[in-house]
Amino acid sequence: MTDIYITDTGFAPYVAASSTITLSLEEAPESYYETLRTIDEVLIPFATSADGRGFSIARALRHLGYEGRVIAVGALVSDQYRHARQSGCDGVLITKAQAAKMPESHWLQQAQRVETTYSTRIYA
Amino acid sequence: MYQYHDFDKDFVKDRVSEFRAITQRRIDGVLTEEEYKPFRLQNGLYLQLHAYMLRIAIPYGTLSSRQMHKLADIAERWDKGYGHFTTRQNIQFNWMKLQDVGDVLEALAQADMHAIQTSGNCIRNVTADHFAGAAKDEVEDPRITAELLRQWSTGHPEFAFLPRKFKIAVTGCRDDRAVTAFHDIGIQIIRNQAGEIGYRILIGGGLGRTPLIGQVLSDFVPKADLLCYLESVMHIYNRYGRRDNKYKARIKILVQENGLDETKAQIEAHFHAIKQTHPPLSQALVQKITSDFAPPDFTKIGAFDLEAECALSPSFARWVAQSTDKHRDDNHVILTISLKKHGATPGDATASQMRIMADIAKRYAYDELRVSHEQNIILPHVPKPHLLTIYNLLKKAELATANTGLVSDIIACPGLDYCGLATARSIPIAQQIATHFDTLKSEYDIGPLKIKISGCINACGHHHVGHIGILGLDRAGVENYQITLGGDGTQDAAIGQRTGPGFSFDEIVGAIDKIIAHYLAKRTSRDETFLDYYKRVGMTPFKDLLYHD
Repeated sequence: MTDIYITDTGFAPYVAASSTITLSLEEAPESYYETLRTIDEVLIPFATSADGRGFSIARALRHLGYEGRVIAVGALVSDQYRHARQSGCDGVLITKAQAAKMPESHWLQQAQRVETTYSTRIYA
Repeated sequence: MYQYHDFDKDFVKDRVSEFRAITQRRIDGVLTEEEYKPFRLQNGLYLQLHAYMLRIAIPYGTLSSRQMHKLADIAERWDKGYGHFTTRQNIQFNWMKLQDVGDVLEALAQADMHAIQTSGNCIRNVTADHFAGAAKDEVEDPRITAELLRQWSTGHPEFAFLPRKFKIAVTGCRDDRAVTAFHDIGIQIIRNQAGEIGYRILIGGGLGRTPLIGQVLSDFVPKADLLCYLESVMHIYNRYGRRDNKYKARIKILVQENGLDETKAQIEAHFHAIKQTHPPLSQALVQKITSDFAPPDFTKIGAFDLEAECALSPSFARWVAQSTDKHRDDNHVILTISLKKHGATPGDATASQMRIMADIAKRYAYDELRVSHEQNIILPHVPKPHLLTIYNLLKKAELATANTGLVSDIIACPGLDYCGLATARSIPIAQQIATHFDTLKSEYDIGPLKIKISGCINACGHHHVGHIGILGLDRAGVENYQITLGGDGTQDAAIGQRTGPGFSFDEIVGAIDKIIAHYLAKRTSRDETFLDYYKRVGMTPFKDLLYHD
């Protein structure tokens, strides 16, 4: 695969899980969750970096109890890595062209911010 | 007031370094302007007509004297020596240089301030009643809730890229000074029949090109459920709010198109789904916030005969009558410092005026200031014995204009003098109206009257809720001003109705004069305010005098 999978430890080649699905943001995952829960990996598309629907979809999946791998894929920029992780994604999938613009160091810098959130303070 | 914890300080410092890094990536060409823009805006930085504008957050409008001094320093060092207090209780500097912004943010951080989420499609700076903690009829200080919401919404990962901006206001009183009915979410702190304190939630209010009054989403949300409930509101909005048209992207349009019942059903279904697993609030944090907002010890001030002091000076008496409101403690008052000197730009203050207000607050008024959404400065707790001294100090600084709540206490957006979106000038209209009625010496006779002016349909000057609203438009390259009457931003919320065709720049002051002259001639007595009169007689006589006489 040519895509790069980014986690808190940096870049790695993307290896798809044995079953994977790319969600449509137009369909509520709640409506077909019984099917979804049997799939190992969910990809959430981001058409533009300004469209944050995917963060709520990731959060919804986790609320539903989904335990598989959740990946944000598409037009995210490195500064949104923490948003993806804090919303319930395990990582972000980008193309080599994106990686050429935003190297691993940019994403790792943001990975350090994943734990810096007010939610760690306001909840018991 | 709220004291920053180490976490808050570290968070703000980190955001400064994050902003510097992302700006560098934009300068290096790594990010396109389209990619950079959401981050620039979420750090308060706009590109306006002439320069960059930096909007600095003043959470729920509360400032210490140290923070006001910092704003004065910034005005002098990095801007043109003044700042503009806004209708969201923030301050804007209109002449920033991009290369200075990182340094300005760092200077702000030294005083526990920032520009985070003062713009962009995120949850904006939470506003609150500017009389919070001082008003007599308050159920609870709304800043406790507002601070909790500030922390919850700051950097919230799920809600940083919403369909559109999202504004929340909180009041602790029935008398609504926070305009809650015209916010995406308006929160009123109430006590239910069992004596429990909780929240009445309004949804879908707003101004702009589609003015709507908020509807009741919930009559009572218990305190413990507030964040979970609001998470549900935001979650539904983020998923289903329109993204195809920025003018239809606010939550008010979602509510309008889907209906309140369906929207409420979606929100409450989500709320019930996540409630069981939603973590409880940290009581330690709630206690810290509550104790930070504990009122000062008012008992040190004894009884004082203010009336006797007023009797010695008519100008002082006038200023006291116009600028002070009843305080929860009888030996104190709430003081409004007018930033509306006749002929000046509404909401502007020079660095030296900021310092004088800060020093007065520190020396005489428990070290606390507020910014009101009406673009004035409030000293919430002023001991009556200090009023004369304060008056004399303010007078020297041209800050003792006794016009609060009168015809010259005008809200005006920056308009075409600064704003890249504006279609007409606002500030000169405000200046001319104020000067006109000052010349006539009629504003005390006219009595309570709120004029609000917007320089475009986005309604930043809140013209829809002005007793008299003025909307500046562009008609084939010529400024044209429409008038609305009867708007009200209080608990009796109403949207002003248009009188008819607009007026030119040269005609508008005359049209306003006609309206007010008619009111003065026809009111039953001085006790019938302009708004009362309008409610009694309706639009017809005003249409007649503007278009048929």
